[in-house]
Amino acid sequence: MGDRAYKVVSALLGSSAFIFLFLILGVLLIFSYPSLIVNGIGFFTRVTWNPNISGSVTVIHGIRAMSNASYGMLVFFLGTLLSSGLALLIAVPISLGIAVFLTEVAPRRVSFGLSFFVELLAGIPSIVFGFWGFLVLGPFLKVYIEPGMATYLSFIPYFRGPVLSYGLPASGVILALMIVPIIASISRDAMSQTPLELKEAAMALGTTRWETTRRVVLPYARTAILGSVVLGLGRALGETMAVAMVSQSAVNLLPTNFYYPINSLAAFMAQTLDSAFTDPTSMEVYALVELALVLLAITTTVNIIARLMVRQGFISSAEHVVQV
Amino acid sequence: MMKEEDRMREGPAGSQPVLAPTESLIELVELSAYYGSLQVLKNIRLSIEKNKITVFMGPSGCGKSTLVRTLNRMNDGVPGFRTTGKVMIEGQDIYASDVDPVLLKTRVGMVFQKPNPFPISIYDNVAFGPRIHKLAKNKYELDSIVRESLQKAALWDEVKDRLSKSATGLSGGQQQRLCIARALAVRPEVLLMDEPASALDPGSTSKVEELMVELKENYTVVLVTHNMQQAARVGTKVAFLYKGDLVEFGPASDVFENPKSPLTEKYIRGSL
Repeated sequence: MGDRAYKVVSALLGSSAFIFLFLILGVLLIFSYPSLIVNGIGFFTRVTWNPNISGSVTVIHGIRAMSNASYGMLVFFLGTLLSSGLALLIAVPISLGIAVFLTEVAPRRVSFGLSFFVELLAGIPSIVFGFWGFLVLGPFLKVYIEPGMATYLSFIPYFRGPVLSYGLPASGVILALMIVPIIASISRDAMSQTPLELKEAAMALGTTRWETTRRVVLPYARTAILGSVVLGLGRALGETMAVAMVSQSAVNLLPTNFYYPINSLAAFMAQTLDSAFTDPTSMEVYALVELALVLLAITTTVNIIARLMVRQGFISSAEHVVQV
Repeated sequence: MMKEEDRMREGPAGSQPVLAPTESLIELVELSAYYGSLQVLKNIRLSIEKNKITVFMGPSGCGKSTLVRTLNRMNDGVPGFRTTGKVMIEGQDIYASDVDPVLLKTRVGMVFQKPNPFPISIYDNVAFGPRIHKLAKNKYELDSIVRESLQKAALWDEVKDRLSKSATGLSGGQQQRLCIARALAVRPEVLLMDEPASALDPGSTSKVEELMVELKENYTVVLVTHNMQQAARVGTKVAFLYKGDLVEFGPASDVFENPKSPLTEKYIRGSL
């Protein structure tokens, strides 16, 4: 009798994560349903987000909505992809540099100390990053870096000025700082598992330490490194607060140059939810929930890919050592 | 014990005056090695002759692996490891500051206890060193280095039809011969073999032993083993080490049939 209760209770608790995920998915589907029906496929392609609260109430496909309201996710979707992509571009080389230094170059004691700081960085709350980005990083980039980029990269139309905001550059840098610890620590763990026999085999053939790292260690950890990058991407895609504070909150504005204000799915939801409740038809709330559904779909996909790659990486990355 | 050791060193030179000093390729001069404060090699003096198989033999922890790893500076990266004395190869101290430990390893190749092929194709394993050191001008030259190296390692006939297959699919003995081919591909003068057969079955072991005997025609082989039969079968000269001391060094037949040190005798009887 006691064993039976034990089994039931532990099974319930054990599967709670699974249950929560499906409850959340269910709630998102139910609350975004009106928006899915009314806004249809245009939701994914439109630029304009206008709840048109001052208009009149009409009925579309049997669902109440404001007339002439427009709901499009494109600005936020693009902002999310651009800021996360820029973050990866910055974070991946830095993280790999950290991981290589910690596993292959630094003396053990130095490596131990530095690892601690890398992990501390991971523990900083995102609002703290946001404040720092808003007060220091954003103004610095806008005054010192962006004008230079606009001048020297003016042969690429996208990087031509005018310099308008912290926007994308600050968002990318902030996100990069937040995901460096993730990528660096997983890569370090994977690289440190390179069998000593393989490293010695390479060294005995007269490879330098750098060549050994490049031709044996990095290839050995390649899949796990790729997994850590995707895991970092997942974090960047869903980050709300720091981006909300530095992106300068673009609405109805496509980022046609590098210095435009942007917005992300997560940041826009947080910024807009409050005012959305003033919509008498609640359609704006439903539309925000649909944004959440899109974000959940993206991050879940990215996370599943990352998990598969990291797991694969630790078991069989040996199969993927690349050729010289 | 020092006295016996001295006599041993005199021994071969005295009894075999035909050996000219130029025959010696490697000279260890008062070589000591330490891990931190632990001394693992104590004032080793011995000479390794060209185109012979010199065997380092002794129980676990006697320092034989450390000794062989000083010959190509393989232990340089080990924290706390240091040496005193000299390791002279053709008159040049390899621990001198103007010697590049990376280039040294192209002259002194190494095969390890556990076969350690890279998890890439058979061909790419052998080509790894030549590619790093740009030994081939084109694909044709690289192909012939790979073929020759595999032939020298007596593996060519077994793998010539599957060079592009992963090396990890080979048997343990084949993997070890692949590692030998990989070491030969950078054209070393010396081949260090650190218990190369201890992870192999008897059949593969005898193949590797036959191979060593063939290799000494063109290479100077230094073999580490704790297998006395193996040392007796292939060794030209045998060094017996115990707790970091070179106890006895001489022609294999002398060491096994007429050991001068009671320690060596005990070891050979299996009662050490």
